[in-house]
Amino acid sequence: MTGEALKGHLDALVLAALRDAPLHGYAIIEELRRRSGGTFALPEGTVYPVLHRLEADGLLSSSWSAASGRRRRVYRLTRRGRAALARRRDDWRRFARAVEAVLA
Amino acid sequence: MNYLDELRRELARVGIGGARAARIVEELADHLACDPDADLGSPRLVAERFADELGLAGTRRAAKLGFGALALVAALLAAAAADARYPQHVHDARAVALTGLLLFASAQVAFVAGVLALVRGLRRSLSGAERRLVLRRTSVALGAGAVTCCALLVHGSVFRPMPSAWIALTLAAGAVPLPFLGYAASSVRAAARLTPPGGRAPGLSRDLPGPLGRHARAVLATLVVAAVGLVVVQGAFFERSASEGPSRGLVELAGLALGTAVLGRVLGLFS
Repeated sequence: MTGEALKGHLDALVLAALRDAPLHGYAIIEELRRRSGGTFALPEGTVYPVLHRLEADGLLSSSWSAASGRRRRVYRLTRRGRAALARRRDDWRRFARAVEAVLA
Repeated sequence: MNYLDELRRELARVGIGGARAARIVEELADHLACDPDADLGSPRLVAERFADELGLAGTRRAAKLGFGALALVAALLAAAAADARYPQHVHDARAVALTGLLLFASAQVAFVAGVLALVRGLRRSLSGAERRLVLRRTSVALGAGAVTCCALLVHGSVFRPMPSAWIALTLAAGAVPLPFLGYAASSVRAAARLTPPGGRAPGLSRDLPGPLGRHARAVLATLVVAAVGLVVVQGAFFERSASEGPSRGLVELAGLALGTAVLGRVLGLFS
């Protein structure tokens, strides 16, 4: 699935990828790919700007950690981020039910 | 020049520098270390995406900070107004009337522009043109807020005889919000640096929810009537005068007409 098709859902997907544990940028992209069974092969350059914006909006927080001799930025959900994820999940379920009802 | 050097240069071109640029470069360097074959996109495209996303967050932040600073102005202005016990004879009646009128006008401009900025700024998605509109509205609101504060300082200085407690409260009400307004203005400048020019934002119709958006002019007219009506009732009630209400209402109507003519386009009232 291309980035264009995912536009508008990317915030929710990134928040969902961080639901269970803090992750760094590359791991978030991998997590999305893994959970979607390879369907969400995101253009990698699109995820980092979204991470920075979500952090600026207070939905994520981040800190440096060390790995393999490199510094690595690790992101985690804030309380506001968890609330936003719950809201977006509800929005999506309502939307998906409506589409399913029309298409069925 | 390698990918990361080029990215650093492109980030500087779109207005991202300092610690933010260093962090972005370090994160993408880590990504490339994890996957040397990763396709991040061209440095120019990546830099523009960062500018777009950070500009969006910065615009929202500026609108919220601006509204917060203006709320402080409004609260202190209300406190000064509530504490006023107007004397029978005023020493410099003309200066008091002029600063009072300026206060009344600038506070309304600040309120309208600030609310409009916040309403548009809180939308989930904003085009570049809309972001510029939000920043323009916030700038107008902050400018009008600063004028309100300055008018309050002059008003507190020329209005005599008044109790010293009221004078102190009014001067504090004028001075205290100024640094907050300045801080909010700096956030507007920071967001504006990340927002490229071009395009035209939809007007008031996009500020209103759902079906109301189709009747933006009717909503605007209703708000004008409500504002004038409020001033008429307030003037008649507080001054206990049948003529004072309508005459203040006329001044309000003229002010709103003038304000709409001068600032309507800047504030994006019309599509």
